[in-house]
Amino acid sequence: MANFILRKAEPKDVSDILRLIKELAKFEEMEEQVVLTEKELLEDGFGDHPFYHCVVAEVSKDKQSIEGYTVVGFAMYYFTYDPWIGKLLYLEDFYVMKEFRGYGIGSEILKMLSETAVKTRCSGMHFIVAEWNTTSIEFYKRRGASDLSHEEGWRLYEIDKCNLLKMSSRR
Amino acid sequence: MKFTICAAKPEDCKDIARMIMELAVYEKMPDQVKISHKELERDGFGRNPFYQCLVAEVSEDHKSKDGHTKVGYSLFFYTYSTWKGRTVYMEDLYVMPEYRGKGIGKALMATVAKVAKEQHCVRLQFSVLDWNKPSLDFYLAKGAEDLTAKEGWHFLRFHGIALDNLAREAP
Repeated sequence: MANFILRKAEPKDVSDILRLIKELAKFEEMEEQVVLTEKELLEDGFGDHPFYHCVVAEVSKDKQSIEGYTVVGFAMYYFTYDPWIGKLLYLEDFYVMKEFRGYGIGSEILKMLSETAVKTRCSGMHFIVAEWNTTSIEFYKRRGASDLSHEEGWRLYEIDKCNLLKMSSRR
Repeated sequence: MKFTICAAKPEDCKDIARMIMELAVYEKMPDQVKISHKELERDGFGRNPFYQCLVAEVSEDHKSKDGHTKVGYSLFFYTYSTWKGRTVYMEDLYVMPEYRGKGIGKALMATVAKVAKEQHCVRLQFSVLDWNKPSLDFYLAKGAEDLTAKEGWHFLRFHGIALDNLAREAP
């Protein structure tokens, strides 16, 4: 196929990034949970204190998608900290549009991220995957990923805004 | 028993490293701790801190058997949800066994929640080992939800050789 390039996301990419976020959420059967707006993505990724980093995959105009998009994949990541091993790269979202799969775009994005992780002295790259998403789990395991929920028993917990407010006002 | 909760300072890193190891022993994984107070100082107090930390301290007359007055900590950082925006991830929460049951854990967590609210974060996430019933009970009482059970999320990781191998293939 078509050549593609991987590059750092720029402010002008936020509407494509939000579009791809929603497509991935739809695949994860949770699209109604996406409440983030373009304005927040812009402020949070390209302001004084970026909360995330993003790479996008772009094809040339003549290879654009059926609806006319040239930004066809993305990965959003940030740096976290493990008190046992230090800096980590956390992969929050990773997605390639369906019609552009099978051409190595996903593999190249993952390789680029792992190179970033090694260059920035990260001890590992962490992420979460839904247990029913066997295609993605196989993709990652083929490349050497381990499932810490399965191997060590870690479970992800969350306290939502309402309960956070209750906790912070009670002392 | 009176105690204070304050933002950690560089000189607290030796105590934080001590308590990180105590928590790792409790989690049955002490051999996985690879960093010392030196990395904690570099990574938490440089120009670009990779984590935030709160320390709980008691007065000299309430010091521990081994003479410590720093008796608990919480280490956290900011992450990003493509669905909901800014999130706080609480990586560690620990109180020395002889100081439990006095509201220190609750106060540490409430302070993390307060910081989260000030930074306009919409939720607090953390992970717990599936056998850790005392901690699970503590968190569930505060309104935490198990997203691994509810939505099937599993933690995955690329680590060590697997990460190096992946990076070596980068374009």
